[in-house]
Amino acid sequence: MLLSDEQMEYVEAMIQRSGLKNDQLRVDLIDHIACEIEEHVQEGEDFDRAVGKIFKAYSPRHIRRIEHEVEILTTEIMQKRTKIIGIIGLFMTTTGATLKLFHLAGAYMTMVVGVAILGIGFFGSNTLDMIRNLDSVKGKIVQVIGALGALMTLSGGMFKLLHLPGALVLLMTGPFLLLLYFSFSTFLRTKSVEE
Amino acid sequence: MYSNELVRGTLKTLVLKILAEQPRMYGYQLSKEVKERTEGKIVLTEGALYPILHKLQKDELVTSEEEMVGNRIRKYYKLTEKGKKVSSEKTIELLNFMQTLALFIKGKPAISYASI
Repeated sequence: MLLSDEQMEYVEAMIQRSGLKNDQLRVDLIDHIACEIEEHVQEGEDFDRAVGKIFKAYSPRHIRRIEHEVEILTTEIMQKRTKIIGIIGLFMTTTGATLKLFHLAGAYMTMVVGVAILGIGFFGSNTLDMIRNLDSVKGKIVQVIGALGALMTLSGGMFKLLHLPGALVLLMTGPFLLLLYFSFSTFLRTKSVEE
Repeated sequence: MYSNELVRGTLKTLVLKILAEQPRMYGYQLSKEVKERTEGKIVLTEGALYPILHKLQKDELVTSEEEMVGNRIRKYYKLTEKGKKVSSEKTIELLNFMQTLALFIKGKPAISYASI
């Protein structure tokens, strides 16, 4: 017995609330979930109970995780883009440091832009990506601590080279945050999409 | 049920093998088939199945066609010619691997090609 129009609308609305963007995957999941519900109904369970049971497993985060997994396997664009941003940021930072070492013009601006690119484009986008795919609040906090630590350490080095105030504080806080990040991430377990 | 760690590397081959035996299949049907044929010892969850199917499609090993089933769209997957070739290569590779493992553990091959 197939689900009614009204029941299908409900299933689609439940999937919609997960924020799933991949249309092809949406088609797959709607049919897959509908089949599971139909199987439960055929075994004598009523629709509401079956839906409740199934959407407990298909949480919005679980659906987004599947989408993320599909994205990782089918597109390398995002990873490549992040890497390119990282290369540009690091290139500008090292160029700025070299200019500074030889007292050449443009050191200040090159380093500031390089660190900003690394901070926002590389650490920022990587952290957002990790946050999106982690279930626990603890895990998300740890990722933010790691990104802040890396950014502060990098900025500390830049501040020191450019003789800006606050370098020491940044160089003390940044590595400390990185220490926290590595300590926590060693002991925190993250769930994989297949579980 | 076998652990994810043990099964992970074989799922793609299982999907290719099942698709090679049928003209076309949809996702739920595939996951049911794997569960039934392995007596529930291997469960192909939606979290593993759809990333595999989309990756196979991207690699042009499978194609998909949509069809209305009642009031919803169903996507059927089928192997391409390239997919059929890869399916048979991957199946043989997996069989060889299983034989090697059996040889390693028991000292004799567990599977005969004649029975496949």
